[in-house]
Amino acid sequence: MNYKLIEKYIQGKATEEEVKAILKATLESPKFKAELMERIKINALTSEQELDFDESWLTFKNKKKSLNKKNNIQLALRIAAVLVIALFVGSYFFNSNENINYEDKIVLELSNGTKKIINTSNSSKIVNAEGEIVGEQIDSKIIFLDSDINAGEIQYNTLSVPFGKRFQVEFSDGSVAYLNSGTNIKFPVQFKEGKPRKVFLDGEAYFDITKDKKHSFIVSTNSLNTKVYGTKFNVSSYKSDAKNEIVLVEGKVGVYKNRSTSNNSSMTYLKPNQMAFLNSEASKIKISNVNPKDYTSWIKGELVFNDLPFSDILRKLERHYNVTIDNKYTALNNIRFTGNFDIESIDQVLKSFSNYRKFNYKINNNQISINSN
Amino acid sequence: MSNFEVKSTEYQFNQFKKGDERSFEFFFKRDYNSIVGFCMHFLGDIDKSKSIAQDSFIKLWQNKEKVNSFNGIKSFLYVAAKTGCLNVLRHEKIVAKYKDSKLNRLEHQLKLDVLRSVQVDSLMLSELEELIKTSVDELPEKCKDVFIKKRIELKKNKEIAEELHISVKAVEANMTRALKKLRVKLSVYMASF
Repeated sequence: MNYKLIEKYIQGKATEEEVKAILKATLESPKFKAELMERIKINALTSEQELDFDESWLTFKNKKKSLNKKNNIQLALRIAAVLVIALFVGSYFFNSNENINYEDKIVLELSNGTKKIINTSNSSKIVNAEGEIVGEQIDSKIIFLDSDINAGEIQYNTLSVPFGKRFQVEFSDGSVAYLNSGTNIKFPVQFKEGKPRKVFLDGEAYFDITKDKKHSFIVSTNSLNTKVYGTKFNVSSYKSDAKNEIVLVEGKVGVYKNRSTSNNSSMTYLKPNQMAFLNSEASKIKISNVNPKDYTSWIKGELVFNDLPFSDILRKLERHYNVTIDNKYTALNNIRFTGNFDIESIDQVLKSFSNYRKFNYKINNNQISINSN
Repeated sequence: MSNFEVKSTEYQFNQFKKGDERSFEFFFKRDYNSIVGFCMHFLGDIDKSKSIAQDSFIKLWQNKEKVNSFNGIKSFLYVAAKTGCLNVLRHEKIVAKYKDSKLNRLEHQLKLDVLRSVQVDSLMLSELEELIKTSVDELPEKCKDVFIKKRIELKKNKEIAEELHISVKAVEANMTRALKKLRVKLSVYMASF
């Protein structure tokens, strides 16, 4: 029996005559039957159906849910217990720390220079320089109220998020910014009627901007400005990275260089799933197509590296884990990796990398050094 | 330019044992289409195949503590799918695929025989995987790239097409070519089982 015919049969493409010949042969020769069975088996074990993952996964999750109702109550109790312990431990550490050290704290600086440490396991009222309540902090979020208290000059607040922490701020217009580790953002306590809503960013933030046709929202960084009216997008512009990336998730934004004015001629427009980037101040704004998930999953605490050079990955790890990494094995810097992490420790992360490219690393508190093997 | 998927299998497995849904999603993503593909060979019906594959994953979720190794996950799924397919074949009427009813019966019997002969233990799967790895190295360059991106990095055809600057059709063609070549190599090995 020829091999091609068997293959045809297994793929379900044989004619009835051909099927007949094959099946007849299985009755006549046990050896042939055994061989055919092996081939069917291999095919069955190595073939796959082209199916939409999201749809399949959703079906599975729904099935699982209907099955899990009973277990859920137990789980809820367990989570509650963990939260109680976390609160207890958190407040213990906070109270035992008498020295004011702003370095690894989330800090809100008021327009008059007063600094307030934000304790994410508590809630508190936010007051302005005059002592009037302008907002509220609940856990990892500050919400600024929309009021007409600040009738005079625009008052700016500055929020600083240290390495290893993330935070959220809701501005007075309801727009929300998720702030990544190592980020500073300066913003008006209250946006002014008739003036653009403008904030200043050094670091990385994901913005979900409330629509307001009359007042554009401008995110200003070291070298790029982004102008929008209502949309979702991510801005990554760490001064230390010398890299500016703006990724649009939804809506439309215009990007222009800091030194140029915001008139339409110098504006580069982005469509959803596009990224505008600037590698150095002298270069032009470039656009590429991206998967926004790769750039926004940090909101959920995930670290996603999609074909990223090792040197860039190290900068991200430093911020995420609040560590300093000294890479003496410079040959690694240009190697690109793809991968994602969320709850792993820095040790587990580095171990995973070293499984793919051998290197040695030493962790000494917050200091890490990488050496060749 | 090199590209690696970084996440230790050991870590994924440990998370799976702890009941972490994200690691479960990883295995679902990796194996679901293969399990449906396996069932399709015996049932020829996409809805029934999907349903059996779904049930296999539900069983896996319920029996996490019984799985003892990373490779054990895949063999658990195949064994569950095998049982599911056998149940369908045994209890449902023989599908009238051919005009000749004798052919329908013969083919039905052949499928039952093959299914019963499928012994999926983790040792066999890990050896199979090892063999696939070495065989993959011998594939033509494009085939190999496509195969690795699809099976190891779990990328979609569209993503692969974009990365390699080829059409989706070409991705499919290369994948078919890769599988064909692999099967020829593997059949020699499988005969010993």
